Amino acid sequence: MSIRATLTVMGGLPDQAGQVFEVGAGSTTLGRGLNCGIRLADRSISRLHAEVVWEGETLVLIHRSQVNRTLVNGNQILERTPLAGGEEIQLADRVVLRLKLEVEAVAAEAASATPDPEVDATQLGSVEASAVPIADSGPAPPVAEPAEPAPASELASPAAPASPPAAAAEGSVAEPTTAHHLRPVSVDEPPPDPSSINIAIIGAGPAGIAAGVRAAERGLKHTLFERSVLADTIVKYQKGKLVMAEPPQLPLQGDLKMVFEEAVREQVLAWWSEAATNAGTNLVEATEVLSIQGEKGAFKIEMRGPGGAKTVDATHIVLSIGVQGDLRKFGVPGDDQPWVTYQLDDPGAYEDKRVIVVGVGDAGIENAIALAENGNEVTIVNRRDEIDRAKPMNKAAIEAKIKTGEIAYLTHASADRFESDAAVFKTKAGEEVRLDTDLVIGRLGATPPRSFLESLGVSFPSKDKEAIPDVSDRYESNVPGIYMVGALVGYPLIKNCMNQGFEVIEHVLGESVKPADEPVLANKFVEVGGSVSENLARIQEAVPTLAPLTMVQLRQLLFESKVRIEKPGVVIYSRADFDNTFFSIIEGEVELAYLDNSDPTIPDDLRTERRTKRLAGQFFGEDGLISGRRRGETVTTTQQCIVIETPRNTMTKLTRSVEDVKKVIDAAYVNTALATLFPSLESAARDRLADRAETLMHRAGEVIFGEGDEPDGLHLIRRGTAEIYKKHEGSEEQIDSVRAGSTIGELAVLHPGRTRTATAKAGVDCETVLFPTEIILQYVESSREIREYLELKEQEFIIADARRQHGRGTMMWLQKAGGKEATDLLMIDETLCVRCDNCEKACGETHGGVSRLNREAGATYMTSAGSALHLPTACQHCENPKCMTDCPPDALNRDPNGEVWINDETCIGCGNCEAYCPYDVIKMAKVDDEPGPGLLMRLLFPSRAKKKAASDAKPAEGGAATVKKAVKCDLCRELPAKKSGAPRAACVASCPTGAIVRIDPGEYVDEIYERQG
Amino acid sequence: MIGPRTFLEYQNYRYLKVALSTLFLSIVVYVVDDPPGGRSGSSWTGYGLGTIAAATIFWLMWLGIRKRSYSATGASLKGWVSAHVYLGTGLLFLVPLHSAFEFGWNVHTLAYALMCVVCISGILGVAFYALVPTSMTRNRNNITLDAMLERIAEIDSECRMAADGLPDYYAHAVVTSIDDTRIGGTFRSQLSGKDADCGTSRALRSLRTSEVDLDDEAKEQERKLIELIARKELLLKQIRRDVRFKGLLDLWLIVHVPFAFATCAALIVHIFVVFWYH
Repeated sequence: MSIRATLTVMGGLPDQAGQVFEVGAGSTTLGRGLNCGIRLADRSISRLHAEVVWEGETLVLIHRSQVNRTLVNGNQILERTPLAGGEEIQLADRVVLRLKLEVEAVAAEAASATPDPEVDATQLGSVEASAVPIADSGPAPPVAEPAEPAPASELASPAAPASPPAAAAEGSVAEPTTAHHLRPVSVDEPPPDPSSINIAIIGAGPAGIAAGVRAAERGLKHTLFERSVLADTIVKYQKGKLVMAEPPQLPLQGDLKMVFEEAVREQVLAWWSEAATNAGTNLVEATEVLSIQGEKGAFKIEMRGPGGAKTVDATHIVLSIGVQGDLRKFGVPGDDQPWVTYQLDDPGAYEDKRVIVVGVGDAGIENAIALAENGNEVTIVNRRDEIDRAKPMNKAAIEAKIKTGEIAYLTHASADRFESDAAVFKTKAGEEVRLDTDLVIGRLGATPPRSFLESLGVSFPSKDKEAIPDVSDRYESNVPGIYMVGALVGYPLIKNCMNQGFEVIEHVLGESVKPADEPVLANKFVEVGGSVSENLARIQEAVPTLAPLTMVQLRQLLFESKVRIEKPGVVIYSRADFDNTFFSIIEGEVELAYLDNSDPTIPDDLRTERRTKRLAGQFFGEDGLISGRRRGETVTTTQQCIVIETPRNTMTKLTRSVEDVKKVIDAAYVNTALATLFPSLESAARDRLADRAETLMHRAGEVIFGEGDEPDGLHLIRRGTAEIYKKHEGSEEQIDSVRAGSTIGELAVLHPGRTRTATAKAGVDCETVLFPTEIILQYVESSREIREYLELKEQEFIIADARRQHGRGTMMWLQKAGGKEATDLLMIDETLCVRCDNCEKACGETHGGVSRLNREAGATYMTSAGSALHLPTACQHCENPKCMTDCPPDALNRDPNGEVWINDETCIGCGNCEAYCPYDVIKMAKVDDEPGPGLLMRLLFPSRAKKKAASDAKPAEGGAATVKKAVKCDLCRELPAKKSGAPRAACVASCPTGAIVRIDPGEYVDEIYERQG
Repeated sequence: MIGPRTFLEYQNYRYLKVALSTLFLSIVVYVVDDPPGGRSGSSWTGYGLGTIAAATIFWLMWLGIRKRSYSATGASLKGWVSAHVYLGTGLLFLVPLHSAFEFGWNVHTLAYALMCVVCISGILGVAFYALVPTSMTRNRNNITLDAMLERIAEIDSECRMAADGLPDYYAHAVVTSIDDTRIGGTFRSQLSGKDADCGTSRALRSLRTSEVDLDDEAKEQERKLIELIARKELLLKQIRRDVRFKGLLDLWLIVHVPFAFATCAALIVHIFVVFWYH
């Protein structure tokens, strides 16, 4: 295979504008001189200005001019830099050329064999180059080719000339970055004859019902299959629960004859079943799909319903099965006994029974405990001997019951068969255990829909568990004739589901339908001008990172993003801000000013600033996206700019599904991190380092490297926190904890030949970028700066170790107490705290009657000098907030100052954040919007005031709307800030003795050492 | 030092300084001033000092409201408390200056006497606040009160199981321990931190003096039961101490607040009487 390189004149040369120069084999010179291979007639540039040279498969730019500068994407090149394609090369002050790399011959075997060329990771162009086959097949409809989307593996992929460094370290380590995942594209076909259509819609949730209603309206032959009942998920809600209609700005498809707005469960169910009935939807409930065979136009669906198994035909299939998956079954002889079940609706229905619960997940544990407390004789069965999948609270509860013997516990056992009145388990040792029983509850978890989908041939973009299967603009998967909508393809909100259900039927009919979000998107582009489709096309052309997205994904991204037009000189965000949105530049140019972090002893405010530019087509804010930390740079526009600001969650979801986007962003992150740590390192050297680096994932608690190990290199923490331990008198003690953006393992690099002097463990789920020893050593020898940096880090380590020996156990305690991720700790000096609970009262009074802090709970550190520092249970505003992982309406926000807050207008009360929070600081509560009883009332009639508050909190008779929403500390964002600009926290301001303060976790450790001294 | 400092040290003893300088100035004025008819509460100096004292008292009362204004802006509550303590203590000396040390069996001196009770109870409060919290933390030993109560409930159910199959004598002891154990009770018993008639202590005694013959297996059960009840007794002691400390922290307020209102009432009568009968 060969790579064709061209340079196009983009600016600075009016006479040669648009001229395309072919870059020949070997070396090509650029300049004003007559001998130059590429002659550029402008006086501003040197006679011999620069040179591009093929080194193997890599094109390298070498700066030659003695007086004038050469820049690549705004970064000055002092010596040489590899090129990946797509770069803007600026010679002197005005001449700009754009490099394009194209792969000419297509050879599949070349893909993995190609040595990975070096790349400047900040150069977004690498995507343009690597994404050629994708960009060409184009997500923009209508596209005629390829006629049949083929599975990714069959596609001969051109060697990616620019596999980004993070994933490309030494072929043996990283997976070969071969075949790009081929995303399904919409294919223009003649519209099918409506009378020949027979659609099987599988799953009667909001998407399925909408599809069923629309299909019926359109007079199509269709069946809506549901394994349980219509809108099963909502049926399972508690009575009177309010079903929220988010996002508020999204309209429903106007022609959809199905009502939905914010209402109580009963009302929503009534609307929907009415819609299905009125339209004449052919609904078949209690029927489960087992398998699907055949192809578009002739599918055969095998299913099992009340009447037994049967096979039905369909021409098209719409999957709207959600993401909950199927409950796993025992699958052993006798599992059809009537007393073998997989669910427990009401533990109160059983008493004095012998019950076996199989499975020690949360569901199993909760069932077992509830049944035992109701006077049943309960045995819980575990396939292994660890209880590690359950919440800590459940784990503690079940272990307590097992210890007291209230619940019998069988480990290393799995069900072998069920006899007429007994269950037989087989242990690991092969023994049979026979238990007489009245009821067996299998809590074996659920099979995610992924395996079912893969059995149909549906492909997923990545191995990531969370990856979402691809669909085309018309919701068609890579298997022709199988369409997927709703939560299954990443849209958990009801309104999205309903719209997609409607749209998919239109698409099956070959009709064009305006997406429901059209007015919302149009509104975003009002200031920019142009139609929605023009703007979408422009974005995909201008921004290579967004090019691999399907149109559905791009629309969703824009729906959740802001389109901002900014004048020159506007600060988009500042260093140390805590927001973490991601920006793509459509037009204009910005300047990033970051700090020189090479000397850790210099305080932040005295560090020098370094600047770099990002141009149209590039992005910024990747640091926040990856690490979730405070911003490391200040970004200012230098020209009029159009940028897309995308929330972190949206972007994270996208990087899970679109590998290419992730790679480019990762590469840019490493490059910038290196630039801040080693500012004098040339861009080319950074690229080389980044190229050989490897990104490693470490689960919480995993060892990154161990004391006494042979060192593997220098680790840069890109996400999470690493804890450093050292052995002391036989036991391991924690010395330090190191946060994202910093490095660990310097000593081994500084003293080659020595083994690791300490152990590093992932404090929370953690990602590090490893620069292998042999690579980093070259730089340590040649660069004084790197050497000095490493020496300073060594000194830091020595000081930390000395502190550890002085104040034994402090760090250990803090980690256990949960401060490891905190950015803002609430601390009580218990020697001052008079237990008046005014802090809790203040919190409740300023937050709708619900206190978000529990003063008494939480850990206390007693220092040897008699002080006691207590960390009450309250939100710590984590660096990487787990609560924000999966909020369907994106109601969790993070402000620039770091506070994580929940928007109670958009919160739908799903409880995801509560489940995700490892520190138990989020509660689901009904927040009272009414002002509480007045001060006079509280003073004079405290008991009556309490009663009023209690009666307010009770739901009104008749199951009126009561929705519990997630609440947690929001750092009192509603209260006016202090004069200093610091947030005013009611709990702190209301402490009569000044015992409670908010502090930075680092200060907290200092405080402990201080008091011990 | 980054961490919190006590309210007494607020802003480097700002209100101690305010209180001391006010007192100093008042003494100077008092000494310098030589009104016709001699120094008395009815001289202009007396009126002046009296006005200051009365205004201070009403402002001190306002703390009760400020404490409950949770979204108040301005100085922190800690600052208010600091001023409250120093200015309040200053009144002990300011008021005698106002009255020119005239005391008698009348409503005027009654107001002063009530105020003294308030001030002294307040000073005791400050002392309790300084001493009790540390002991309380040590006593709690990183366990919340709720967790201790939960642990007791667990021990109770373990006891029930341990007593299963043993003679009734043991079941009776367990029931005594469960049913006859009280935490809290009257304010007095809370403050004592003890319960002379604690069911758990009785149960433990009766278990140790048991004369029932048991086989080996039952003996083992008995030992288990004794251990559980002994642990429960220790937990109960810990809880009762916690309750006692909490009581101590509240004790002074029981005097301080009602007497503060009484002082106000007497003060109003005092002012009324002074001007009505003057």
